[in-house]
Amino acid sequence: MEQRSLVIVDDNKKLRELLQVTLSFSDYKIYEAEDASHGEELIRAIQPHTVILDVMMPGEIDGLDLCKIIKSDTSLKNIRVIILSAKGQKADLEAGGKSGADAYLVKPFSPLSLLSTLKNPEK
Amino acid sequence: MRLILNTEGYKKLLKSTYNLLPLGIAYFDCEGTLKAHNSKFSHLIYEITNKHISLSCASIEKDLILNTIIDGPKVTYSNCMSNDFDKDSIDTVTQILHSLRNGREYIKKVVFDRVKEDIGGLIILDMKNSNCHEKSDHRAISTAAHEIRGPLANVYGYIELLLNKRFMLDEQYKILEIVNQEVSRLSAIVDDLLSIEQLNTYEAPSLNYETCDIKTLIQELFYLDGKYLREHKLEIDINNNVRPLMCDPEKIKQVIINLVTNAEKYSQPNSTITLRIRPTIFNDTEGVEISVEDHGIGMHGHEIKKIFNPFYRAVGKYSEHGSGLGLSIVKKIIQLHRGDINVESEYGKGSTFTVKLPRDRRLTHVR
Repeated sequence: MEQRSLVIVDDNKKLRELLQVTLSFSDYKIYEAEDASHGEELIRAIQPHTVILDVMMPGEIDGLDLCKIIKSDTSLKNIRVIILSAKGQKADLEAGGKSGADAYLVKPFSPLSLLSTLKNPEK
Repeated sequence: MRLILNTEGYKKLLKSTYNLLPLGIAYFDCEGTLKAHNSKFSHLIYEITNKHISLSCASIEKDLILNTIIDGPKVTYSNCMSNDFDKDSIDTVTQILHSLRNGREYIKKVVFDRVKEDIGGLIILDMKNSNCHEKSDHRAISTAAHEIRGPLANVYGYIELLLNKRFMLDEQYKILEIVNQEVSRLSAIVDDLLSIEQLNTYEAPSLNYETCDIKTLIQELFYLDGKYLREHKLEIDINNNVRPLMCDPEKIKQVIINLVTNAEKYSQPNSTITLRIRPTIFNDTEGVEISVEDHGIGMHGHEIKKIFNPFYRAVGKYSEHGSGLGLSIVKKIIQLHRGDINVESEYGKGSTFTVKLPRDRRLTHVR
């Protein structure tokens, strides 16, 4: 069975490293981007199974914009998007839902919860 | 009552009370010339125009205030109580008031009043209306919370992994090192937040001014205490004609450290960062220019406008160090010293931050 791929889009290098360590306990092949524009390029090129996406990032578009782009593109919409953001208020979660995200985790997050979210067999 | 009002103590009390007010208050005469203002007024004028005002240059101040009112962002007046005054006086100030109608935020109120024999006006400036203050505070708190959650996520996440998963001994050591760095970063963010808060409530006179030899200050920073710039080359070029500066040396050190470490963050390891100190003319008086040049990633024009905003980070930095507040702190310190900061940058080529400070802020003229 072909190894699933996962793209991390987060501007915080240390957090990307934490995700790498966390995901070393899963079977994904990991790719990284440090802003949403590069993330979009990578996602289009790789067509990963899952994207872990920060919201607030420097650059022209943020994580929610990228999530909307993914979910409105017929060739990308089946990609699972997990938003991982420090923005954790009710309105933020609602905005995440409206953008089409499949899951929303708030920083600081539990790596074990993330692993269990990834194991969720819905996709 | 009159006796009390004329005492020096009462005048001091009145002055300090005006200076404590959160609003900018200024009185101008029928010519439109500024006659008196409190410190918040001068801060807000600086915020709008990036220029200082002082009562010693009244005619320039008149233009400055007029221009502020005309060109300032979102400026308006909300109230005009013009009863009891003769037509000529009102015409003069009415010209000012006509210019105020396009915006909403800065000018809170303009009232006419009779002080002794003069007929003049009173301008009350407010940064924003009270709702905007709350929104601004809310935004600042929300941004600060976001920044704190970043390193907190790493600390929390790694500790949970350490407690629940198996790691080799060297991996455990690496993780603890990261946790240690992130705790230091949290501590730096909290320190800088407190520093910003303190600087926001400062008045310029409360800085610890002393005559400072900038060469000695640079030596203390980079030759004696070599903790900065481990991975970059620092070239220091101090012009021999630079004369001692009246400043708060600790604050100026902080400016230089923040500018140099900012250059470090946005330029490739092993590249050269140049710190230049030279004499200059600033607002018609003798001044000192401090510039920091890097050959890093540079910035686009739209980014330059945002870099002094708290927690703003440009794309493509090489290092995660720092609180995201360094340049905001720099700008605030320069404002308190009545200086100026300018940024020149070319995307892909590098940036130069240039600070100009009056040798003695008390001699600064208004332009």
